[in-house]
Amino acid sequence: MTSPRPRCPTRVLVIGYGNALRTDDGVGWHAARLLAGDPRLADVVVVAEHQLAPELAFDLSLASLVVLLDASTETPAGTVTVRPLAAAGGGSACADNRPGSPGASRPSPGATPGASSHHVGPELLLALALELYGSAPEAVVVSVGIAEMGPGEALTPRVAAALPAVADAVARLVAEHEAQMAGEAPELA
Amino acid sequence: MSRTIVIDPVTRIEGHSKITIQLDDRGEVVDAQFHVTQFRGFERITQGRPVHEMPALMARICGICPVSHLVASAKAVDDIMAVEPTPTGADLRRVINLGQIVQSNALSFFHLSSPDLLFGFDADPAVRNIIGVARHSPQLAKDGIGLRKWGQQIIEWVAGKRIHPEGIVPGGVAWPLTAEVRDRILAGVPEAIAAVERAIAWYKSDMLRWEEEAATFGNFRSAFMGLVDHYGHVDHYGGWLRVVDADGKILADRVEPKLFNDYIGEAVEPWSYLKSTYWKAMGYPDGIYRVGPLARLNVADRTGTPRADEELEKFRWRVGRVAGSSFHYHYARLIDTLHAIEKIEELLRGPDILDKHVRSFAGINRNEGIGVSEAPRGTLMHHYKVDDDGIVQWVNLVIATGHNNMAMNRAVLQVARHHVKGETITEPMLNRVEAVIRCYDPCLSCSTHALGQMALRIQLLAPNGKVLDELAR
Repeated sequence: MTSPRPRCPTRVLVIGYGNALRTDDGVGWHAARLLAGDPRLADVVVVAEHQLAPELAFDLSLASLVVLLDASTETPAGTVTVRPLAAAGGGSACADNRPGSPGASRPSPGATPGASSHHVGPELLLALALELYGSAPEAVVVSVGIAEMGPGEALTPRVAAALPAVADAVARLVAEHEAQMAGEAPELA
Repeated sequence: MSRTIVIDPVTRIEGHSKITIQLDDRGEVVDAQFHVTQFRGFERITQGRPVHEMPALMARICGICPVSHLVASAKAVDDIMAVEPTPTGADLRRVINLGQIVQSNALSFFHLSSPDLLFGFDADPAVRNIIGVARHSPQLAKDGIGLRKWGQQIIEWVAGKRIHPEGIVPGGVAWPLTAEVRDRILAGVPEAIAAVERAIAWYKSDMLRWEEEAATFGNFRSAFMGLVDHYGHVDHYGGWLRVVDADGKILADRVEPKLFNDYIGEAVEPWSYLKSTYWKAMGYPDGIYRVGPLARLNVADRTGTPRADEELEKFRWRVGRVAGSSFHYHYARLIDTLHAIEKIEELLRGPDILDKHVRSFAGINRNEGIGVSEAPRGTLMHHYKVDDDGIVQWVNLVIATGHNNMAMNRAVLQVARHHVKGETITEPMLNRVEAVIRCYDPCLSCSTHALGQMALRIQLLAPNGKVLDELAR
């Protein structure tokens, strides 16, 4: 007989990152600043960062979902794409994926370091969260295709115009996640 | 036939660099050069700007140590304004500066260097990285993350944001400290101290493993320079310049930092954008000296805080009153960090730290100003000239990595001589040449450690340019 799973709080973390002094490279940062005041995300922690750094691993370990907002050079300018990240060993602390549990798995090969310490990628952060704190959240990247990365504080028009779509995508992800968490986790007796 | 080995790029530096190793006809290393190949141009692009903009502009030199440039720049502008910050304003600048010392030193030791120290310099890069550290020694990894986070939070909470904060301004700081923020920082002190003391304990227990590296990683006689206060204690913000020789004999003491040009010269070499500074009394290139955590401990009588002084005593018992090997930068960096944490606590418990008067105001009263402080990597100087309207006419920056440039070249040469034999480029040689640079934690340091995969290309060239051997990964 298995023990009932604990009811897990839904904690969503949104991290928008990029260099706000390099025009469209800062789209993630700008998007996070916009989302911080969005009433649809009232219960969500939204942070704007210059870059991802190892110290975010602890914050990730407390989350059930992390949404990362970033620039993309691989899609047309202004295009918003949503993709789940390769599992870094899977799920939140509420999943049966804690180290030692039957469902536990190692970070995927994509999460192992190939990055430098100057650039910490999402996969590495998730792997650190799992290794050090026993928990890594679901992770989704919302990318915006960019036009320029030269010096400048403003987004190019097409990229700036994509910010509402980014906000809608994030709000949708959060709503879906909250519904999923509410449906999956029964109360403890 | 003589040959040249080129390592290009040195992995992921702040900027770009390469290393050239010159062999003679017998395959012996005769010279090595550390080339910085990126040009930043801040000394030029800031000309014509109003001087009050300089701290904010200069912070953009670096995303790892922006506070260092903010402090030195603000002090230079203070000099032009002919003002002293209020005591509380100066203390808050100290707190912010020390927060940066903590986070930057933590990055260098825990993230960039600990994989080498934990697994050995020849360990598989697939293991010798921060994930490997997290798996093998999770407490060590957590301590590094925790220290860096706490240091960054101090900067954010006191100065406005972690990177390029706006809270340090000419004349002092932009806003006073609240009791709530003070208490929030103080709440983190015990764990911060515990984290660095765990790292020191581990390092001391393991350091005999690295005897060979300690003997060959930039182990040479040189002078050392740093700031000390009137008690001879380490001073990261103010004080006077002190220079000692390799035996600890004082070469210069109680030097007003603004007079540094009387003692330090700058040389430019055609093969690097990084200037080399030298001790004028000894000339170029003999006037080699070092700065940074190792130098700070070598020049000071004591740190001035109890736990760090206790560790300093043990450090000196182990490595000598004046440690000559650059490998010991790692050990010194930990003690430097411990001292910084203790000093933060001491400052925050000061009776006037919540005083509202944190900034002095004035106009342009001088046409020249110099600001000097201790950055994580060593002594930093900002020197500006302005016209009567305060428009910048001329800028000279002497950065820590420049002070250490000749020393880094010497260290690379020493490591190369020890490890490069004949025509074969070996992995151990590559690892150690990069690792010796990492000891100095230059503002190129973020790139001297690949987390699991060093993107590195090294070629062995004949004088006619023919590639004799090549290694790439």
